[in-house]
Amino acid sequence: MEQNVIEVRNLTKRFKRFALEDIQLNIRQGFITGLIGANGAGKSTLIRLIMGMAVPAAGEIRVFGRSVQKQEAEIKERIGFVADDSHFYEQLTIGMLKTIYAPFYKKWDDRLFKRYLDRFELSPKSKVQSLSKGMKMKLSLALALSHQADLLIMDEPTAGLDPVFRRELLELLAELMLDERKSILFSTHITTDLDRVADYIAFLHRGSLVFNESKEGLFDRYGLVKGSNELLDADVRKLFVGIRETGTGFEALTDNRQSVESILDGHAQVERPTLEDIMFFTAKGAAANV
Amino acid sequence: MYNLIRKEFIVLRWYFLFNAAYALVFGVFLQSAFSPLMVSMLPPIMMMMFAASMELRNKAMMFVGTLPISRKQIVSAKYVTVFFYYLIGLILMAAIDAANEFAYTGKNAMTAEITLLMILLSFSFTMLYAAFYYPIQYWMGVKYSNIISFVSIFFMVIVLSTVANIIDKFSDYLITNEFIVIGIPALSLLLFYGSYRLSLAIFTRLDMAG
Repeated sequence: MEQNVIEVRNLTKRFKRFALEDIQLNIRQGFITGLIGANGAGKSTLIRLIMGMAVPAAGEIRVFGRSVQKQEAEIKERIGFVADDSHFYEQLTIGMLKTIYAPFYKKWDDRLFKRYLDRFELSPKSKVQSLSKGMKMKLSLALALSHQADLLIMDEPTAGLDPVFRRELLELLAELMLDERKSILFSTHITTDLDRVADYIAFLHRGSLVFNESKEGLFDRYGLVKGSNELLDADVRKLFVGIRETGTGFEALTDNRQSVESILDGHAQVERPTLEDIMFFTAKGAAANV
Repeated sequence: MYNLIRKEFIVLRWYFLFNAAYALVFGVFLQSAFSPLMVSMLPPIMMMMFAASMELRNKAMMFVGTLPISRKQIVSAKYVTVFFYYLIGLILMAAIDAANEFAYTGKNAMTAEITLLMILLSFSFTMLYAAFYYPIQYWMGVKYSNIISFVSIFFMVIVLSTVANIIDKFSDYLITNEFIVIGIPALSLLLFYGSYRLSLAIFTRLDMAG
């Protein structure tokens, strides 16, 4: 039976110029879930709420079936967290940082940590401040993965990384997922990363959850439609989430691929969209649909 | 909580040298009747400031916030650490006193005397400073730590100079009055505990800032 590793119910968090409103979200155990959305969509806020680092205005978050608000310490023991930016003490060496970090975790595995350092070519004697952004991300991963976490939460881990390490990271995640008890929540706006590894996609747009479903289900449901502008009457336009019109024709995203295929049969091309297409047309839908 | 206190000491380990240097300056070279008071109080006050500056520079709350500890443990560790800093102050005070004794014995020089009243007062002021400092820091955030330190020190200078005057005038009375000797530290501890509860109430309602 499928279990949820994270359950978010009626979650609301308000800031002066932005709000996450009434979020309902399940993150399934044993899978990689990609959290996508444009910059400022609320991905980091949602992750900070899940980590108990932000306080919700309303709603409840349960991780491993336990309330984050009430049992945050026990929950975080089983979470490996990778932030989008380095938050380690810059003046410390990696070895010294480890001596601070490791005693907090009952299941800390020193040998595993050394293995990750070797794999990432990091020396325990290096100071954090001497590391590049990519190396800091590797350090963050090594720390997050060395206490046998059941859930890995990563906030924009690939932002600003070179393509070689990005690919390496994705391979590492795929390796981790060989253990079916592990789960990964991975926020990014670089959707090509998720095209490769994600099982489920949750899409946040302007503080609201647009969808949270399996990648395959998503690609079955959504279609990228290309055709000539003459096809675009009022009824056809209603079929699309977003439309981009040019002098030579239109490109549009539908979330009801079957209907569009039957209505526009032979008159338009319906292709499998990328996650970026889905994000772009949904985010720009209202403006582009004019 | 132990690991949080340990973390604080590892991260700030080089800053303890500043304490030793200041103790030397105020305890030996610029000696006055209140040198022991100053030497014992400097470590907690300075280390609270250094810790805040270190947190700000390294976005340390983002680090601490991901660790398997509760918010209550984070606040408790901050307050318990003050006692350790004060202990360092006492050790420095004793060390400076011993050094002065050694250097000035037989030279007819005046050395500041450590009295029970002085220890009790330095303890009380340390507790009072922390009780004032931490709730404001939790409320305003670590990014305002410089302003908070400035305001807290200003507040402490006023309190210190007032109390110094009182001690000067009523020293004999104060040291023999058990209520004052026990009452001041007890009151400061009570304020310290109240401050802890207030900081906890503030911190559990706010987002952790990076």
